[in-house]
Amino acid sequence: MFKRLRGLFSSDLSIDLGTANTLIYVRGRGIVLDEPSVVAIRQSGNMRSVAAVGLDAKRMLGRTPGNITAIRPMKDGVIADFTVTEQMLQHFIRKVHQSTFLTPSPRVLVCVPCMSTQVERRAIKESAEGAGAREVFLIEEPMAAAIGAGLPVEEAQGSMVVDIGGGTSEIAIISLNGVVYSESIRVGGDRFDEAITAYVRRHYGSLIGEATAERIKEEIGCAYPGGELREIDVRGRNLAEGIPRSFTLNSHEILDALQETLASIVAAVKSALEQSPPELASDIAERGLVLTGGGALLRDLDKLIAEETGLPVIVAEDPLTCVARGGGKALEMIDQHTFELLSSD
Amino acid sequence: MSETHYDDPHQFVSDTSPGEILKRERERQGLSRDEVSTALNLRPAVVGGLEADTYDGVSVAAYRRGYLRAYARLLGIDDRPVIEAYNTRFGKTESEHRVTPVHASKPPSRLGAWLFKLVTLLVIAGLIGLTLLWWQSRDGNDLLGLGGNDQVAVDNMDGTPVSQESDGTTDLPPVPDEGEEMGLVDDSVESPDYAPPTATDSNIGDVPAAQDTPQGTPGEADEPTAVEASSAVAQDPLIEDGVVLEGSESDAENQPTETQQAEAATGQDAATPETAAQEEPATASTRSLSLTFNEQSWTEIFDANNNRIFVGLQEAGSQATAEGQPPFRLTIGNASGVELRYRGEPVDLSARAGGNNVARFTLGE
Repeated sequence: MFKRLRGLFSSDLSIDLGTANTLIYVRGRGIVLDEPSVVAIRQSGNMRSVAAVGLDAKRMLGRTPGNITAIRPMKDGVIADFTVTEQMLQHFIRKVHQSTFLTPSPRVLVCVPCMSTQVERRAIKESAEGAGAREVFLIEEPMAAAIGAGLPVEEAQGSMVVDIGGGTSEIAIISLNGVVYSESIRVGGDRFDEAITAYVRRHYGSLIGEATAERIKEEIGCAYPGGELREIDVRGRNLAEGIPRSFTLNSHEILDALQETLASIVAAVKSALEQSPPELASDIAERGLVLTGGGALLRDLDKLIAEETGLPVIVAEDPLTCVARGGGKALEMIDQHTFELLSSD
Repeated sequence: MSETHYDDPHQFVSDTSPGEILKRERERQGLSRDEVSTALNLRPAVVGGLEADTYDGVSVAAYRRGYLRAYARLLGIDDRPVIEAYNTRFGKTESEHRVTPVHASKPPSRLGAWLFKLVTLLVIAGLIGLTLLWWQSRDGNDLLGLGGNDQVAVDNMDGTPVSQESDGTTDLPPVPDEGEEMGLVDDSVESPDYAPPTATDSNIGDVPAAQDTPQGTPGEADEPTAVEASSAVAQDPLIEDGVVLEGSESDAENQPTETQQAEAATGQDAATPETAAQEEPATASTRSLSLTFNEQSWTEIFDANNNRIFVGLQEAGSQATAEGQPPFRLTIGNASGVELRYRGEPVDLSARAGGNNVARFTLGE
């Protein structure tokens, strides 16, 4: 009863609880929060308290003293640390509702990976409830991504979405508001970073951190040869000498580093195409597939997939926020009719 | 090299179509339409449509914009001016394809949910109401049952037999008060009219005296004396009431004369005691209650004047008689272990006992 009352003072939210970033879409206001899914925990004696959440916490990542640990509570698209996730969500929900004096109790739609298990979905749902949500809806990420990208999901036509997130890549063929085929591989932006870190260690004998690897990927990373050659100066700790060294990396090297990871994504896309029903496959061949998620920002990834599959490939507008925006649109449709896009618990 | 081309579309964004920008750039780079369609994996017709701004084969805005962006990036130009040109020309009508009535056929379930809730609530309320009604009516039955007992008491006042008592347990008729106790009476029923006077006669003396009489008067008085003896035994414990005693005393005074006086005189005498005797047991029995305690019981009896005529804890196996002015108010504990007789009739206590086995009722109204 009291929750319902508080609900009057809260706005409905769509949360893209991603491995790398958490995005919150507020009904009527659009994307209002886009922060890394990182929480810094301060340990003082037996007491654990949240030191920072989001951007502040991410700056601490890898630079923390002994009593502070900056952790990413989500791993591979699912919750790795239940309590920390709950605290992070609570923090984000409060941040979105700054103006209200009552504790917010909004209706929340959370996007979940399509291959997540019942237990993982239940964990996400309970986590959102624990963070103060009045009602929690779950939607599968590729479905939200397709809606966010503006694809005609409700039509009797196949639409293919490849959502490359931080921890997972979701590939789905959607028709008539349902997921016809879906595949989720635990390869995403994080795996790109790890591949770059491993490459630098192998070829330069130097150790770089997560944040540096991500910066390299964003600035010079590419997925298809033949593009403009770019370079970046990087500083890392030399393993042999034990002291920090500076060196230069170019985009060809990064392409080389990412080969294996990219191959697994391409293989998953091909496998999805192989398994799609012929009618839908013909629709996809006609219109192509859509890339969403942060991974779609990797330079020339669309070219690589187009080359490998022979299909038109388009990158969605603002791919990073596709899932959250799609969730927001789904949330708006909930009131209009019982929404069959929502995932069953 | 392409800096000038970045600026140009910005300047002409209002009047240049996206297709024109792309076509101009493609021709400038010396690419054929087929080369572009091969690179984009699109049909040449679609690429032609993009350049001519017709988009015949592409109904969904998201795909149109996606193709335009892909085309622009293939040519190495910034895709934003192209998209802006598209938006100014066609608008951001992303929802144009949302009219497909997949959901439209679905009834609004909200109303259904409310109706369902309402009906459920009504059904629950109805059930509760029915339960209350049933409960009340059950209580009412109990009260009615007690009222029925009262009515029985009223019947008794009229002198109607107790056999009309509540549950219809047919009891013996009220008349043979004494006879009921002794089966012997049945043997002497031949002269029932004479039996009461002789019985009262025999009350004058003690039982031995009654036994003496048959010896003294052989033959003629055989049967009556048998009755006398038996009824005397029967009446002794029962009739201790002052009235009866007085009557018997008066009879006793008459006794010496009775034997000596003429038959007519005795006939008259006998006639008067006969009626008196018939009334006397009746009044006596309506005034007295006989209690037999098979189990220990606490009993309290008030009469019509609100005098407590009987009270106390009675041990098992004891018997008691209470007398007073009817109607009586009785409180009998452990009712199942007590036998009550009123007017010689057993009164069913178990029917009047409450849940705690205590019977509280009024008798003889």
